[in-house]
Amino acid sequence: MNKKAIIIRICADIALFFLIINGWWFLALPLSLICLWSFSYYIEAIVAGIAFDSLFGYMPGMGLIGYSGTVLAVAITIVVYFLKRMMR
Amino acid sequence: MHGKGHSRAILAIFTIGVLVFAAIQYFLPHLFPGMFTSVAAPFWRAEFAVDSGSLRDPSSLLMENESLKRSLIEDGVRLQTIQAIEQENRDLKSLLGRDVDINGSMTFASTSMASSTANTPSKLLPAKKPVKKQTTSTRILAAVLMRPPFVPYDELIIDAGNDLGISAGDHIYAPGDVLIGTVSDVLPSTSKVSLFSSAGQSHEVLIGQSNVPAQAIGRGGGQYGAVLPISVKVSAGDIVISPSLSDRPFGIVTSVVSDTASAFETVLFAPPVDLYQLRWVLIEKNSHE
Repeated sequence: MNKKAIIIRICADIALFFLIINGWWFLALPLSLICLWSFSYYIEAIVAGIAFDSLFGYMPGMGLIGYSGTVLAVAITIVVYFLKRMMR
Repeated sequence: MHGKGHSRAILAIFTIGVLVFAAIQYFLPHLFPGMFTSVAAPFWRAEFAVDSGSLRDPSSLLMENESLKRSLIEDGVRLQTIQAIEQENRDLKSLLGRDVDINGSMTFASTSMASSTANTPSKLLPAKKPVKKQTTSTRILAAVLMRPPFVPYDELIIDAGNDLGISAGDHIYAPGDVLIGTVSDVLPSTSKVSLFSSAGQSHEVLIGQSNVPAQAIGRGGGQYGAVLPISVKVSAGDIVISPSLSDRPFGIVTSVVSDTASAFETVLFAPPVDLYQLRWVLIEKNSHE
């Protein structure tokens, strides 16, 4: 990974961080998809999903809905990983 | 072969990660929420401070301060007038043989009137004890750091947690003494509040002047719906109360959706306050005990 790609990845991480703490999942989701496609092993997407649920979910009585961010992040990470392997 | 081994290694790491995550969530459920909230809370507080006008021009703040002081004086005068009228009202009721407790609930003293030989209120028998139950709960003001619609699970995040002795189940009131939800999770300096309007939550309510009983279902974002027979007369603006939760208005009917082909109509109502613009709430400590 060259220096430019690292800088872009850090910028994307910062953007993702601010989107997550504001609860703007509808912007964080496409950004995660783009980053998952563009960068290798973009585990920040899973961390973002866990952070999202930690901030807004994980409440007693919510059940699995409270884990939707984590589940979605893991799911798209796996799907994009296999898609990339198939297409590249 | 190399690719297969690589995939297995990734799968193993992934499985271990999931197991570690599940174990942490099971044994230390507040570890991740506490950690991430401690990172996010300063940003939320800064955003709240900016929204509250912390970065405004000092002269405009001074002007606003002056205006608020004037308003406070006017309100003080109005309050004194109200208190004088209340006192006059109490005196008049005493003259008519009724006694009023300090909370405003009225107790009839007909037996004392009957046994009384003089009409002077001072000779009446001691009034009954106040009807209202005395509570030891206290209320704490908290800032609303995050609110719907951007918060995805129809909840509020407030700026008070374990540090202020908040506990799960405490009632949350919006300005105007409107009960809107309960504390569902408490973190070191913040708490998550489940709104009564969260999707799927149901509450028994009485709608309109004729107090029609109904089951209100939360629809998210401070909206409720209740299904009633079409013969029941309910219109926009009717008050909805939920006696099991609070004696204050629980909601106000916003619209009634009816279908001529159906024998039922859907009554939509919302709390008297706009949850999307809520900035402060009151937490009633120990209200669930």
